[in-house]
Amino acid sequence: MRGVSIVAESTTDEAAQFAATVAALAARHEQPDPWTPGAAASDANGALDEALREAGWDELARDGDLLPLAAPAGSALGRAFAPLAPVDALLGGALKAGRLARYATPGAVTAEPRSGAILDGIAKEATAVPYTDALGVASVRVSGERRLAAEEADRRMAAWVAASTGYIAGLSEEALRLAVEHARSRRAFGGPLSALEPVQQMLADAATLVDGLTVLTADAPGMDALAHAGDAAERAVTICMQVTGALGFTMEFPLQRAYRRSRSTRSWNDAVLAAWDL
Amino acid sequence: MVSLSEITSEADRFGAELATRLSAEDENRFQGMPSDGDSRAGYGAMGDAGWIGLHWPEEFGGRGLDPLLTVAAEERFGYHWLPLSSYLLSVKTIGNAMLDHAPAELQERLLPEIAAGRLVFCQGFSEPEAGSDLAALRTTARRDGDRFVVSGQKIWTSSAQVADWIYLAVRTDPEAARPHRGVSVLVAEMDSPGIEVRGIEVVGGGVLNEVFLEEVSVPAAQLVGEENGGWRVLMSTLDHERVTSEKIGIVLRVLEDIEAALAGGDGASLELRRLRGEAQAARLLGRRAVRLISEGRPAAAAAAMAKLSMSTLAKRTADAGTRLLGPRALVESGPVSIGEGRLAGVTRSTAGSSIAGGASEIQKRVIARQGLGCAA
Repeated sequence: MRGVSIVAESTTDEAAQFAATVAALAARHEQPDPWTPGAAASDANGALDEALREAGWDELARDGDLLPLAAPAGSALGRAFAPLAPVDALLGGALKAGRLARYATPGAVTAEPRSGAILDGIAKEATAVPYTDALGVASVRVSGERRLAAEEADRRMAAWVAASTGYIAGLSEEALRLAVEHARSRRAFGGPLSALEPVQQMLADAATLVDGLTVLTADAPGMDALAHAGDAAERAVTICMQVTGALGFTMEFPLQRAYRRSRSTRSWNDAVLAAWDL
Repeated sequence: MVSLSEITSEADRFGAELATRLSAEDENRFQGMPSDGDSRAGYGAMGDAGWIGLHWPEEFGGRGLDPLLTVAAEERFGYHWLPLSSYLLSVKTIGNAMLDHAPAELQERLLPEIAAGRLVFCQGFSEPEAGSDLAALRTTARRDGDRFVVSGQKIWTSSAQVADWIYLAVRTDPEAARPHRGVSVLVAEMDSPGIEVRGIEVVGGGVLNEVFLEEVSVPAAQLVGEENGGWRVLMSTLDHERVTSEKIGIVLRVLEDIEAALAGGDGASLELRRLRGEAQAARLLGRRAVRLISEGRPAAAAAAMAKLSMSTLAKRTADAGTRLLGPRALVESGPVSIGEGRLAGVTRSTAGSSIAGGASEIQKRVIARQGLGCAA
């Protein structure tokens, strides 16, 4: 049922090809999650960043014709629970929202969407803060802010929005896959969990939300889609956590990464969209 | 080739013009959602203007277009608040199903009349003791030579008060090993002796109906699909019914109404974006289901997702309107109301949209079992 085309075939092919490349690179450069409860952690992965750059990643923000590739590429990263740093790179620097920025180190370029524009700056100070997700979140003081030319800002923002939406879709697809696999293999009351009506009802809700994100990914998602994606992923992943029971709550089972990342991306993306609309 | 944008703007022009013409019709005044409203005049106008059966073959009065264009037009009809109950039953659900399953003679007799906007169908599925559990239906059709004799009762039947024909789920083999193996689908004229209709007023506005059938004689030639093979026909009919594309338009219209009334209120823009994004997702899930149906591939889970996402969205939109606008949200008409009462109407109607056409819990069961491989 998945993967039914609703966009032009040529775009689909090119997007699928690039997404496959991104998926392969994310797998090749996979690193263990550095996060522990209460830690200030960053999953930034220089080797992956470099490999993606070589594969043409940066073009996504430069060439408007490549926009349909951004969401499927983001989805490949999300499905691998890969770092978000490459997505933020499309915006032109460490994503800043208010006082916080992610993947921010002293001297880094920051990018803050605000009132329909992007403000670039340099992080004069960047103090890592303990955070619920390994996003390299730092409290920053920025100097030399300048407003990007409108055309460039729109192009970068469009690429970031599409890739972010795709990322969330991929993350949710993987969370759902883990939950369905668990429900079909774990036995309770004399049969698989997935035979229990309440479990089926929950999984169907999650699957409908996740499939909605999957089809959005194939349709060059914009800001409205991103606003929905955060909310939908949060709801879907919460259900997946419930279905996997105590196992999902453990650090060793990967679902907790989707749980934390669905929360963190939602809060950042909502903040970005609200600031953009101010 | 007609493009998506061409059909959309054509449908917009037609929808806006017809909505203005029909606004004088008092009967639909407090009908909460266009999908529940009925107007013979409106239905006839759709047929006259060639909007019925866009993707049907030309021999049946259609235009032979891509089914995705049909759902795009339906979206705009919802947006323009056209009374659509007759259309949704006769065309989108039953007409499409007859195109797949009815014998050629029946197709030739009925489909062109539907396409012309002259023939309205209602759908007799639910019974007092068979709703979500449709296979429990008891209305019997006894074979008697070249006819069936039908007796029983249907309920919650939309548009029965205006319909010319009824599309009936009946039990033709009471002895079948499993209940759904003894089911067939018949079509019957509503003025057949032995059919009686009684209205039930509902909170959405307008009526649903009880349809009583007493020894109703139906020619055997009016069988749709195989005798005792009706379950497959019913499930395929439901796939068509569950792509509720018109509700995308309804929701987008109400979101515009809410936005206009807010005039840039605090924090509302994100919530409105979220709902518009959710509408896009629901629209794409609908298109995916239509594509699968038209290719003859298994579509039950995809159609159930389309239905579930849409009814959830409609409720969330109504809820958001009330939350963002306060008491004004429920003003039913007049200058203080939101969108000429559209928000209040939708708030009433959405209580039924997760029940009509298959309760959400049934959609979820279909999704889990047919889409996710969850064991029964």
